[in-house]
Amino acid sequence: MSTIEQKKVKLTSSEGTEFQVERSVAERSVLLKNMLEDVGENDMAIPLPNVTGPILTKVIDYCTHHRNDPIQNHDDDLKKTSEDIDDWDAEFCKVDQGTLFELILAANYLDIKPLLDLTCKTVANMIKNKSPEEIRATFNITNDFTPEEEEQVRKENEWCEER
Amino acid sequence: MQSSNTNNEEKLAAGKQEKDLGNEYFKKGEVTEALRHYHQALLHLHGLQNNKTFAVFRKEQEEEPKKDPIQEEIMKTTSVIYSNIAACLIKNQKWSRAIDSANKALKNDPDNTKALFRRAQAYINEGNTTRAREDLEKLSAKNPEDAAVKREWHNLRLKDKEQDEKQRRDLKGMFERKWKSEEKEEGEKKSENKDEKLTSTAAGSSKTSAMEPRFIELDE
Repeated sequence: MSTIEQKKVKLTSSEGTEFQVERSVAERSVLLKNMLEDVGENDMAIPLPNVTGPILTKVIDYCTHHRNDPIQNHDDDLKKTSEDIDDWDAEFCKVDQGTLFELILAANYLDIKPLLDLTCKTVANMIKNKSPEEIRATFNITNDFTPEEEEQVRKENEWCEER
Repeated sequence: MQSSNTNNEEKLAAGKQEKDLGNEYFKKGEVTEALRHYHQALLHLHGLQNNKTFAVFRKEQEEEPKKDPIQEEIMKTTSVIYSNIAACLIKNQKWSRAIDSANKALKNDPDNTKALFRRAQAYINEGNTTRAREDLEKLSAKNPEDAAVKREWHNLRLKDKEQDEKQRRDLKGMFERKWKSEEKEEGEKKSENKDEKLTSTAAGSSKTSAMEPRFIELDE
């Protein structure tokens, strides 16, 4: 909230790399927000054993860009679609699949709901309007159905295919 | 991100170690230090609870056993940590944060009686007597003779009474104001001052007294 220079919060990634961020940035993470609220400001670095440095760098980018966003209430999820991604966010998600999935895990770990939504929507958009074969190709999934099983599944799901 | 079970085992051990440190500080009465270690314990364990949700993203799609004992222990431990955080926050009289933490404890282990008890305490102090009653009823069903639960029933009744009295005072003030304003219409100007005095004393005496929290032994 304050315009005066905020105290920095130190974070350490799983490899031990130290990052310094402003408190408002760190507080995009509900996990860290609760901790800072309960324990108060401190010079001690907060260890994040479940996030690697490169991923933490991305997460901090995101949180810095969105530091002044209003806190999202989990009840106003009404108009949620995978289309409402703004340009900055779309650019942010242009990463390789491995990174994208690690970002999902990090957003879940740090409890950053808007980042979790964004990354999951991005994955949803990768699946949308694709045939099973295309989806398999996208995510490198081997088809482990026998032709009979596949026929069975297709039959069961007929109702949702052509309209 | 590595996902092997040994990795989870290591994180569980690290989390437990921090939790034990937190317990030690709590016993010494150093609540802030205790909170720091409990939160650090969570930094090891958070995100490991609902592994299954994210299993699809992992490279080796090993079929996860139905009931993974490590997974269960992670959830139990996480529940205890949140429950102990709730105990710290009750000590610090941070009722809504205490309720939030107790909720998380119960999400990880619905049978965590201490977490339920702490949530009831926080609800009572916060003045949410309806929710407090629901929790105490559940606790009494489990342990009808528990002395600590009985004490909280007593505290709940006190709070109820306090709220009733406050409401009565507020209502009384409201009627009086109405009556006074009618009087004013007839040309009485002095009553205005008197009226203000009346309502301000009512507001002054309605300060809610925070109850001393009890039952704060920790889980090991």
